[in-house]
Amino acid sequence: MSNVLEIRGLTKHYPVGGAFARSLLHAADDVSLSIAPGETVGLVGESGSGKSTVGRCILRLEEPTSGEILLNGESVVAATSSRLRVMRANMQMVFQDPYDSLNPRIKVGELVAEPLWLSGIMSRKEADRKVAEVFDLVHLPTDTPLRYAHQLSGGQQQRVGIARALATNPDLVVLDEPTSALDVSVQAQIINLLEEIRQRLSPAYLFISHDLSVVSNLSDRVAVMYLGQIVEVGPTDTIFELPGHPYTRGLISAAPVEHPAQQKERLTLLGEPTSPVDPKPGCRLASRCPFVEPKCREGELPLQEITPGHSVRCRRYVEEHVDGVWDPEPTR
Amino acid sequence: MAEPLTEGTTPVQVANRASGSEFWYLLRKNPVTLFGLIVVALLILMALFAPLLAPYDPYATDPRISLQPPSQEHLFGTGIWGEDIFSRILYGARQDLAIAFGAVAVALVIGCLLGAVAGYWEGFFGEAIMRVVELLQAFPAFILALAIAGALGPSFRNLIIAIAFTNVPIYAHLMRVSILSNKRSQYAMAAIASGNPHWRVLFRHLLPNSLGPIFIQSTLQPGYAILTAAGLSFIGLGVRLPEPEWGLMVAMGSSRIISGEWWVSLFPGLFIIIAVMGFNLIGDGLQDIFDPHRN
Amino acid sequence: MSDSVPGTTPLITIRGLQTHFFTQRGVAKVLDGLNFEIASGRVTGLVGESGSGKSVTAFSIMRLMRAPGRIVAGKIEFQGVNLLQLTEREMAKVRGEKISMIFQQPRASLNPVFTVKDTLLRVLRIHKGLSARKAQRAALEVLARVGLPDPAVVLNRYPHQLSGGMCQRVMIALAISCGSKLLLADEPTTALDVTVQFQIIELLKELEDETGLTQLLITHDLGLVAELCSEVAVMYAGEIVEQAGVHALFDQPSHPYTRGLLQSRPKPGARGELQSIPGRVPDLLAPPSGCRFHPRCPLAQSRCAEESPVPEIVGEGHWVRCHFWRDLV
Repeated sequence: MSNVLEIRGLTKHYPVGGAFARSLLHAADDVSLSIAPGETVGLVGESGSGKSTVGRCILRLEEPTSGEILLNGESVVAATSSRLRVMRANMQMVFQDPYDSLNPRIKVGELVAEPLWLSGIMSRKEADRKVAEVFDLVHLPTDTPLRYAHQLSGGQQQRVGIARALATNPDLVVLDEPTSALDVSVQAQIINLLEEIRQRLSPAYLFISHDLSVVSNLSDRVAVMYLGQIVEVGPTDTIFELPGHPYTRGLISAAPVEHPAQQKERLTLLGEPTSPVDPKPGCRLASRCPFVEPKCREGELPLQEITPGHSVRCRRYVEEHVDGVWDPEPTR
Repeated sequence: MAEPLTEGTTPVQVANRASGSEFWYLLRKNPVTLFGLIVVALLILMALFAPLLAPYDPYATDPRISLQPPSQEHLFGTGIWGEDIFSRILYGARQDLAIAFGAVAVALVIGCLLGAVAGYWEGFFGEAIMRVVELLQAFPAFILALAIAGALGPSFRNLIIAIAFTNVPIYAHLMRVSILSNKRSQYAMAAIASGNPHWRVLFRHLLPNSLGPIFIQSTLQPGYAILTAAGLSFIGLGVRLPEPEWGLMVAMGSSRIISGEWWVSLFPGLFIIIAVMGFNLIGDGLQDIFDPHRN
Repeated sequence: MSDSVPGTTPLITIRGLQTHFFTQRGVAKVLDGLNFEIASGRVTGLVGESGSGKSVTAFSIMRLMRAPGRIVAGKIEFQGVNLLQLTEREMAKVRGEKISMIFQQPRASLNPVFTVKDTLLRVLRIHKGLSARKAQRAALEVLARVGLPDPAVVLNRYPHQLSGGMCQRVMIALAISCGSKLLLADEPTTALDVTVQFQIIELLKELEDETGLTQLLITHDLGLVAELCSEVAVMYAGEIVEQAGVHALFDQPSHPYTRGLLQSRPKPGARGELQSIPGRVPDLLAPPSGCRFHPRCPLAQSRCAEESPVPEIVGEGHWVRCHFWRDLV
């Protein structure tokens, strides 16, 4: 079966700095990722990792510098703006800030109806009926369509955001940190809702988040991004049980314990993420990695497949692992 | 030190605009603004009911009673041709308010359109628009109005055009900045992701959310418009005799102040001040009320 | 009511604290008679969602409430002194020398026009009375102490030249350099990246172990509490609904809200439905009658809407504010 989404070598650079000291911010560098129909892929990274840039490029809310993005085999990058508007019915997005993502002066029902009649799927009248249906799907009261965003709670606002994304029955929904602005108890409601929707409508999700725990709860596969590059991608279980890349290990180990009695082996990454402006050759984690060796700072590092579906961008891991296991001594 | 956030307020209460009842509440706490509103309301009433309020025909002259000081028959005295100044001031409110509102409305529509388009299409197109707007702004407002009024010839309509022109840059800039910031919001991105064509993103989604600062500015602007209108009429480039216009009336009496007939200029001048002040108080007050950093 | 922690003396005792918000829509009684103690030499967690009043508690202790919020009544006793009765001048001294606070946005809490040196040396000279030379040496020491590499470089930087994590370390350095007895940490890691968050938690843990610095950790994240705290108070809609030692709270959560919070956390690497708490945080302008949690509570009965529960003792140093907590156990 062909993939819903196919990203090949997606690169997005932003020029930064003044007219003379031109620098390039590498928001995304050679990102390749595919999503099968009905699959959920988690995209994890810290701020500045480029995960949101990837999400926005997929919907062409930003123009990629280079690379190809295929939605059901059709190029998003090359689509004309009128074709793109039609294609958008098939790829939707849920945004991080539920309040900011809803227009404060338009009733939420109208916002949800918009993609339906704009894409020409149905008339405005039919769209209104469909709105009632999707609001029911996301468990919102029947009078919600007539309300404005500020009359709803944060959780309800995000349900509207999800309803809007689902209205056109898209094959792909990009979820950009959909729960990180919400309270813990509400976050769980939204995660459960997303799972429920997946079982009923089986859209493919790209779940973008900084929180590995949240991502792992929904995802079949996880891709970890660091400073614009995917450093590891693999099935969720593999990522948690046998993480290869030191950055993935650092992320997992940095998550707080679940119980005060729990003893957790910790791998501390030094310092903080550096900036993705004019990155040096070699591994981008080199300055923070406890296992760094001189060879890590040389040449381009490819993302290498270890087992089918599990790829790691780490020279030492690729060379030294035995059946996926690699327990090096810290080099500093 | 960071301000303690009012934790108790869920997004339900932090609607970014003051709703109706809240607006009145704020107004009552801002007596100065309320005063400005009352002043302007009275001026509007004055203009509307001038025929009922005026004791005399504003165009009537009577050389026998020329230059009489204020008295019971002529509340504000009479002018050079024996016209009743009080009646002319009442009718003058019609002229001055119409010019002010007319000029602001024209400037608002043109300025907002230019600013919105320039803000949305930031590239070459937007830059080109803003350069032209800045060209207009490079001249002192009054000089620009003077040049335009001079070129078009003195008339009521041309006065409105001239003043509108000087106001266009203000609205264009405000609108552009407002659109620029709203354009980066998630709801704008969501609108695009929903499949909205660009014109619809701009006019349906962004524009209504960008009108706040414009609204406040447009309450300040009529005051300045009256001042400019009076100024232009004063030097003969605005409304012409025998129309009753405050600036023109001040001009008519200006040579008489030395000879002791102060009332001819003073009363219309006073009304210019009252009107300008009224609008400014409203504008300043609204700025306070709608300031997001208020709390 | 016995909410004191066994075997410790409280450093701060809050009694009947009322902090209200006077808004245009009415008075929100965010804190309405709060009783709370912070045990000396330990890290106490204050857990709650947005709107629970946890930050308001900290700002009340610091007496940094700004309009429309105001402390209306109550007592905050610190080292035998009621902070609410001090003059503003005396309180400023307490804030500089005894109690420090760090915030969610570390960069925003440092003055952008001063270098780290300006800020830090000023504190050391005023509060510790050190000479310029000694202050400089002390500053370098304290920056190294909070784990900043190259203290000499950091010293001459402006806040905008430092990362979020570094700014938070500088804030912590400021707190310990003036010899604070109590550190109020308001969501100190929420704005930081995951890997950096862990570093800051480690640092706070070290400070407790090595210097016995009393800390109040205000957070929405029970994971951080498990990492760092020995005592926990769970706050809901302005009230503390449960307080316990950290092990007791995780082993035997006795309030339905605490239990809901614990169960709604996604576990790393685990799938499946999460337990969630239905509904939403109440509007404190019109809080629910009786138990404030009852509209969302799975155990709620008619009594809960009528009668506000009083604290009941579950175990040593563990109490809960629920009529039916026994049904949960």
